[in-house]
Amino acid sequence: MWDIIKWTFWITIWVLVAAFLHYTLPQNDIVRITDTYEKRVDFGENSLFWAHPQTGETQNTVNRDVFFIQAIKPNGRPMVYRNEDTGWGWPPYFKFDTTNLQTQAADLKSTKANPQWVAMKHYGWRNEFFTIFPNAVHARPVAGPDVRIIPWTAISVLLVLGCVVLAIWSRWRKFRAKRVDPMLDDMEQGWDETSAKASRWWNSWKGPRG
Amino acid sequence: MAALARLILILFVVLTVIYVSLSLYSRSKRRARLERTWDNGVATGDNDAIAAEGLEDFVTEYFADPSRGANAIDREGFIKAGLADYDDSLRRKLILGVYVVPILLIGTIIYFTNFN
Repeated sequence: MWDIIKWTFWITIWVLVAAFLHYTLPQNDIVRITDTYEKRVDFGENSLFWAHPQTGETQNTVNRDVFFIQAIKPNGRPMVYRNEDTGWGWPPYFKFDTTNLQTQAADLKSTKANPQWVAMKHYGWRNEFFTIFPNAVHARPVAGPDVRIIPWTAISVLLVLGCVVLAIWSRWRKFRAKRVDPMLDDMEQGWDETSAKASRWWNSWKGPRG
Repeated sequence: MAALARLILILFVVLTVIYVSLSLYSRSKRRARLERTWDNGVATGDNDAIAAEGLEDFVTEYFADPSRGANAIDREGFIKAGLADYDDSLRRKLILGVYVVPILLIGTIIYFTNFN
């Protein structure tokens, strides 16, 4: 039974870590930009999934105008991005050029008949149920919808993270074998001895029949 | 600017913790090396063991120094002098790179996100 609990616990932890990394690390989508707009957003339950106002403006307002970029994916389905500053906050994209990016996106608009494909670098998720949008970070024109883009940043971040985790884990294992396990063995032995003594004392009261 | 101040504060605290831990760790490793040099090399007169720890330069300098006096050649004095020598070294100053690297990283990210 404890095994199942242990497994569930660790799997939950790793799923959360994977989800966090999937949300935060940059991805590239190839899309065709159809329009850009700006909309007033009142932050409610999903305020965790919005970023910051432009650096230098009033922070922590209850609502503000947010840039959006509408696009169509190669399979014909829509994808809408928001375009917000991350500034000096989290995630550490240090994105200050939101208005510039909006201008570039507007310049890359195209029609279905004459498409201009754009590689949209973004982070975050699109979820219609919670109305959250991925945050566009960078837009550059590409030749076509089948261009192969290798996510170098994500790969290097994951490699570094993997090395750090491995370093910590291997040191923890050595530490555990050297210090914690002998101490636990001693404790267990001490407990067994105490428990045996207690049994003998109890049995001495129960008498020869017990 | 408040967000920038907050970032700087967090970075400073975290990097100071890392710097202090790394500094103490590095110094303790040097101390262990000095102890091994003395126990395996100087005390037994085994020059290969001294060379194995890589501190021959310091050992020759220590024993050649006339200001030490004949009575000062003991284990504690040797280790103390070795650590003083380490304190002045370039290696110790390089640990300050812990502060420099994240700043460079942030600068690179800012360049590639905003100006490329």
